[in-house]
Amino acid sequence: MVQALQYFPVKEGLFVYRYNDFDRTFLRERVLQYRDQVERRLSGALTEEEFKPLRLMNGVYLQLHAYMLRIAVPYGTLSAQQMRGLADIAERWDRGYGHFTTRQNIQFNWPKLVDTPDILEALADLDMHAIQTSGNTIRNVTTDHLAGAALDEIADPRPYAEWIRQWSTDHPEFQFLPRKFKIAISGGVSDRAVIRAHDIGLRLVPGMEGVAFDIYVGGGLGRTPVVGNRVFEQVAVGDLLPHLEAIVSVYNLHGRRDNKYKSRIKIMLREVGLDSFKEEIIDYMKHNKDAFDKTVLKVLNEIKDSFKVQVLAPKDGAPYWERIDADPAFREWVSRNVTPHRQEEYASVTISLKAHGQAPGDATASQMRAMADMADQFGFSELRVSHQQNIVIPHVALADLPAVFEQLLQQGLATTNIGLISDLIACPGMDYCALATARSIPIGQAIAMRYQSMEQLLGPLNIKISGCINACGHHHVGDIGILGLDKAGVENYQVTLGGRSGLDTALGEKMGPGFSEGELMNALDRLFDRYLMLRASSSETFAEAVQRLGTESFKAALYGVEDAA
Amino acid sequence: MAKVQAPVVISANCLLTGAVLYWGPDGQWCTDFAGAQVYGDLDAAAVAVAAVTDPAAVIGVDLVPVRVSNEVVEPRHYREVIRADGPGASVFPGERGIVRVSV
Ligand code: HEM
Ligand code: SF4
Repeated sequence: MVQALQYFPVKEGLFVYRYNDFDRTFLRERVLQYRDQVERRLSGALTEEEFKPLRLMNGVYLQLHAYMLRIAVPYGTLSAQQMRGLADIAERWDRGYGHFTTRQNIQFNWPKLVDTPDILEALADLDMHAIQTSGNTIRNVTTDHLAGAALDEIADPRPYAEWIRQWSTDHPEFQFLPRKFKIAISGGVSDRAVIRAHDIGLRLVPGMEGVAFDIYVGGGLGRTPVVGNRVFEQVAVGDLLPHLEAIVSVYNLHGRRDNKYKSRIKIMLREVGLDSFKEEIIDYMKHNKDAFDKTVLKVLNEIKDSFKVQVLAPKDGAPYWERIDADPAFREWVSRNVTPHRQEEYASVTISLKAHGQAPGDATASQMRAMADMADQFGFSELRVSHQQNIVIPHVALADLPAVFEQLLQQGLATTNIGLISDLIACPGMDYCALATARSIPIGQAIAMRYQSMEQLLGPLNIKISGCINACGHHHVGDIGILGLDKAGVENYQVTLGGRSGLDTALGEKMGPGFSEGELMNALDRLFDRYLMLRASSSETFAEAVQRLGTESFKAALYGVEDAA
Repeated sequence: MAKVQAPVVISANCLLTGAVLYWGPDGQWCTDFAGAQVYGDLDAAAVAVAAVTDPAAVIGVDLVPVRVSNEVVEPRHYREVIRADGPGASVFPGERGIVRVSV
């Protein structure tokens, strides 16, 4: 069970975790195995039925028009070198671009099957892989994209995320769970990792030994969206893995395998009841705690060393203040795309992958290289993928912001829209995805273009779009959620209002019958008119107005009917 | 899913690239929807499918219902229109449309 512990790393590098020889050998062997499997498939020795689970174990899906390779970006952290490597892969084996996803991963939409072993080998050279990006396993652990940089941080969640990654990767008992299993961890006072929409959500809180964990269980979106509940409070760091192991084991035992729509832990929890679930976990831990001895904590400490919070060299902020005074575009960009840092002279830069009219989350190889270069030059060679499908350079000196802005402008990456309507999430939808019931990217593009000129007026607003009930675009937790369905052979878009992510996560309320694409735009026009009319002041956001007033009046606007009241 | 209605064309994905393929009148796969052979009845289509299923070259051979009017053939369902045309959403020049491959 603790076999995964052998893969533990040696510390190296400034901020980014590096593999050791054991990890590297393991990956090489996996690539060789996979190469052989592909050869056998191409020669006809393996049927598609036999081969499909093998390719999926290596992140290779078949979509509508091509294969898709999903690559894990552990807790969304990439080194500049890794980003550059991804650019090379995009150019050499794909069509020159990649898609950053809400799960903080990257997907390539056009790899050829014959090339996938070479791509996996190139990834192994970058200390990356596509293992457990598919199948009924524990998927890539996601976290706050501002981890280690955020002003409100209780503790950096990444060492724990890495600890969990090592525990869960290739865990022999958890390769065939009843269904996929997603863990998210957050270390800030505010939750930027949507932890309550995950099978397990972990929140770092102040505790007896400095920090402890609150454990939320049973969240998830998809067909039956459920907000996870806090099941354990103040769990000591040393008890974290025993808890996780117990929760996943109990789920492995009781989770339903007869019906895939009822197979997630959220349904199991509903069926067995919270109290009896909790009892069983506590019972289970009586046996498993011994397996996690002191060496496990030693490993965590080693990981922590490699993520050690650095005091960044102070830099004279004068160039920043001069530019702030002189350049309104820069000022605007700073106010939208730059976040305060735990260290005063520093900031975190969010690079928008949402240029108006662009497919949300897509970046070309040259943009990836430019972002990597900027990270090298100004950001300690580190980048993050955010679940909002943007890229973050977490540590940039204020003094360097003018130069970063200049370079972003040159690359077409200075879109000043973080948190505004065009900074929307859209899953790949029917443009790519074989499971889709409708397109989502074009809806996102149309919205971004249509409201570009009034997005400052509309203020903070998040729209989340999914192309089917699986909810990869998180539509349930958007201020405005849009779900694309197939209604008698026509694309139909259902709207939800009032969803929230964060610690007060709430599922949006379904408004009523769906809209065609054209009707949807008119309905949104009316909705925004209503909001602008009803808001208490220009500082009341759309979400706040919906929360204050309820959805009735907004619903009436959507459907173009007068308020009953 | 509702029972497939004729007329239909035969489609699959290319094993090597995943590209969308159509079975043509010349007994070859092609990547162009326009090159697809239309079968007016399902029995004829089934006979053709039995003949073309080559597990070493393609995945997921399936029948795609089409509409024929004024000699223009179109898939009935928008999903198949998108499969035929490629993603329209991709913003980077050169990425739109169908992968050209020889199988
Ligand atoms: C080949 C493409 C994809 C396939 C086949 C796929 C499949 C699925 C399925 C079947 C579910 C529902 C699971 C359940 O309810 O049990 C799901 C949920 C989800 N997927 Fe995907 N997905 C794809 C692409 C993506 C992408 C691109 C993202 C990120 C942008 C993503 C992120 C998510 C998220 C966040 C959820 C909901 C959270 C949850 O699991 O409860 N997926 N996906
Ligand atoms: S929500 Fe549906 S359409 Fe969108 S990526 Fe997920 S499975 Fe595909």
